[in-house]
Amino acid sequence: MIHGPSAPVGRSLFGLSRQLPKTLTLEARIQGGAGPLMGLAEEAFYPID
Amino acid sequence: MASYRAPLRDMRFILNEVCQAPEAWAAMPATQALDAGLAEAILEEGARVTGAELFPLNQSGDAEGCRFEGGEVRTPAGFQAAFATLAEGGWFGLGGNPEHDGQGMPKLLTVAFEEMLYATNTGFALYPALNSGATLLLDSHADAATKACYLPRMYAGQWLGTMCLTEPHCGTDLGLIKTRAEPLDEGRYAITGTKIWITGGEHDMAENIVHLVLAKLPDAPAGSRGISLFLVPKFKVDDQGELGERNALSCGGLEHKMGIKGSATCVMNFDGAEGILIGEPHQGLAAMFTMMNYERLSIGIQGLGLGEVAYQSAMDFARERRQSRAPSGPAEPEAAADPILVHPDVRRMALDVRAWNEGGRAFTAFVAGQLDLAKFHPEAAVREEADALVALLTPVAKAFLTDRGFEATVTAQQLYGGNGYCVEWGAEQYVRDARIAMIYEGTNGIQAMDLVGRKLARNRGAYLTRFAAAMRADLAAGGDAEIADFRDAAGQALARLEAVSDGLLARGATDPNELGAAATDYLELLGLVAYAWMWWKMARAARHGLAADGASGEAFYRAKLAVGRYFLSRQLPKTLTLEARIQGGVEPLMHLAEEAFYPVD
Ligand SMILES: Cc1cc2nc3c(=O)[nH]c(=O)nc-3n(C[C@H](O)[C@H](O)[C@H](O)COP(=O)(O)OP(=O)(O)OC[C@H]3O[C@@H](n4cnc5c(N)ncnc54)[C@H](O)[C@@H]3O)c2cc1C
Repeated sequence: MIHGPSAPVGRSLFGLSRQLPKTLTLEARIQGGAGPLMGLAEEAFYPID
Repeated sequence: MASYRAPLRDMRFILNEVCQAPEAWAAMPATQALDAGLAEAILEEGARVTGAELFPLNQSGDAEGCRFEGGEVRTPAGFQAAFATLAEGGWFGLGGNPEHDGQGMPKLLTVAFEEMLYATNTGFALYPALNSGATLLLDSHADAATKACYLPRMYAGQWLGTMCLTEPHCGTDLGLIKTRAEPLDEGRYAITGTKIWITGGEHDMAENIVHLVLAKLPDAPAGSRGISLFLVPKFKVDDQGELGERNALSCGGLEHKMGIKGSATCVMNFDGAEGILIGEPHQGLAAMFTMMNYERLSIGIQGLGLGEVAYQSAMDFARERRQSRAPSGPAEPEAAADPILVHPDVRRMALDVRAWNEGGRAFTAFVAGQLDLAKFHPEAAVREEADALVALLTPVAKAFLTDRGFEATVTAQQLYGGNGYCVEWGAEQYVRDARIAMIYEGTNGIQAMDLVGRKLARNRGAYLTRFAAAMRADLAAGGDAEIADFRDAAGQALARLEAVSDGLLARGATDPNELGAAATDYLELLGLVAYAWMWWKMARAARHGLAADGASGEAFYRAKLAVGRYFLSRQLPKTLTLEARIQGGVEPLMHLAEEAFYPVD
């Protein structure tokens, strides 16, 4: 973890530990592939009673 | 055009197949009279009346808004008549106490009706939503005479309740309120002060308005321990329940705001208005929490209802809109372009909204079912267990559902392209109407603080331990190999939540800022784990359905499993990011000196 008194370091610390971890979600989603998106037939998108 | 039909098939699935509601109702004396047939009739009629009366007024009510004229508030055209129709149908007393002419329906059923109210007209829905919370509060804390006088009239929609907490200088920190209550004779009090942003503080739909007001008695201790609760009617009420002269209170104006324009958000001035004490002196905040907990789940449902109507309207658009060709080659070569649903990125948007909605509907029903157990179950141990789950999950229901609801409306808006930004299709209204739900009823940040502070750290994880045990037992019950992916994913997510919770509790014991730093991410993590559990329940019920009702229900059940797998592979992985963020600890948030937050030249 980065320590230091200056504001730019503080901001990059926030970025590194709070924003960059989004890559974990994105990686997992991308690796999930197209299957989860294309599995549903078009009619099944429309509401049914 | 905006389009909505109450999702009755999904509601039936959740009620009957996922929650096994008829069996649950039969097991509790207070709900034994309700069977699947009656529940179905209520859902169908609820769908009809909200669709016919409220949905047609949604866009016009938004465009027209409420008007403040000579101290009075006029609701948008049509609201009064629609209100009268719903009141006549008994809809405002659906969950009310039967001893006072309520209909005594369990929460598991009434949440479905609430979803319809919010989906068809959120601006309108807030008036009865506040009233239901107010009646629940009075039923729990008022004396017998007050209940007998007020409850039947409020269930009938003749009088409507409000919740008056917020003042110009304080919303979250209610210990700071300045409104005073001076004792008069015969148990009456004179209330003086200004309340702001009071939903339904003044309007033209009911003959009396019943304000539930937080104020301080002269001898009140400082802070939140010194708050008392008063019932202050717009028109004074005599012993027979007859209306008398106007009380010394008035609406000082309406707020101009981003959305929910059909809902009157009022400044309320109390100038020595006469009221009565509800509950014990200085115990007002605890009593008010009866109402606030009710409203928190209700506001969560606001997010869900808006997510649903946003989805349905977007699908109406998608059905017609053609642009470009499918990446795999023309899907409809005879037409100039393919329907936009051929594009994986359009499906991403549609499925994101749909998966949040379906997970949210199941989660809402789960929490509602626990509320029913806590209230009606004959065995104390069952009631106590359910109470613990409700305490843990109420902030999650409020914040996670409203965050997802807002996300759903924005994503649905994006699906339209430019038409989503223009008024005609209605998508932008849903975004505006959903936004407030993350703010009022305790901001979502405050819900997260409640979760990590009161519900997790204060009892050293005891509620979470119960939640985990219940979820684990359910993951082990039934289900076949075909849906092992649902079980495995939910189990892993739960294990991650437990590990994160242990670490957080340990760090929080030495540095209280650790809890605040993790709060919002922790709430989202718990929300995702709870949805993973709900998707397991739905997948299991869908497999049962396929076996039992393979022919007629096949499309529904297969779609359910496909949407569930979308959740597993595209939404649940957010737990990885949340875990990393929480484990990053407090340092990245508290490192920067306060001055360094302000812009420098
Ligand atoms: C349209 C509308 C309708 C409303 N209806 C009603 C109503 O019917 N009755 C009623 O009484 N009120 C009502 N409210 C008020 C609403 O409940 C408050 O706005 C809300 O609770 C937040 O309070 P605040 O606005 O004073 O924000 P503040 O309390 O000033 O908060 C400012 C920010 O600080 C954060 N914050 C504050 N304290 C803490 C803390 N301890 N830890 C972490 N973060 C903190 C908040 O999350 C927020 O981001 C309504 C508001 C609106 C806009």
